[in-house]
Amino acid sequence: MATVELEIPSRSVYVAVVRLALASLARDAGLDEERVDDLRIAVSEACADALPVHLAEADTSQVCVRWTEHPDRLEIEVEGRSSLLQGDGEGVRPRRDLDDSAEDHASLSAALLRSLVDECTVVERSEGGTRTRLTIRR
Amino acid sequence: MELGLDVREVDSHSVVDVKGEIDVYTAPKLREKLIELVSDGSYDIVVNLEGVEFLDSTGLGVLVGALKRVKAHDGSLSLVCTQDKILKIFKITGLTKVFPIHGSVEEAAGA
Repeated sequence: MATVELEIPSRSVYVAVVRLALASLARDAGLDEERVDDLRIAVSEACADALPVHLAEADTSQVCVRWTEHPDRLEIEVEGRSSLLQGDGEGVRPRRDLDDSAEDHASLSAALLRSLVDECTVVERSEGGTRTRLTIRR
Repeated sequence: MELGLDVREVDSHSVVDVKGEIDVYTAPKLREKLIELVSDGSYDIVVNLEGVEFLDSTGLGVLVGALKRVKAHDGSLSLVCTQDKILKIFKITGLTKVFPIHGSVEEAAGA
């Protein structure tokens, strides 16, 4: 069971780095190009959602991305502070307390995540923040 | 990561040729460009996505926002896209019913 962990500063410029790294791992794990493309979008959605919405200049927080290969599935966990999405069991959906513009964006993001990976959950972590888990069956 | 944005005029439409990846980092640049066009009085816009290698919901949100802006001026915003992997994103989100999507800039500007 191979595990790779990436930690990026909470800045949008680094999301492309995560996409690049995980696309490479996914190809290595045997996913075809269409599923690699799906994974890149899903990872981008999860990472963008995990970034703080209003980032203070001195913010030093990190977003942690963990890739794990299981015999029957690939799992990607993104730990940060989800601002748009919630949901486990019934599927990922927009948070309840969003304004109209944020809710529109969250609906698009949730639709992509529900469609592009086999399972997506967003749960609150006991230590604060959220964990988004993407599952791709092999 | 750079996002290429070139603007040209075709049949009284402003055509924005987009090249590169549209994500949470680059989408604000596209948003600024589209807001600038509308502020300058361009209400019929074609966004050419043929050079786009990646698009996520932040990019879709920018396009939806721009559509609302041009509609407020009785204008139009259409897209040029023939890449399956990008079209798939519009299909999943139901936005194929919201945006006119064409196979070429000429077709979009002439529609």
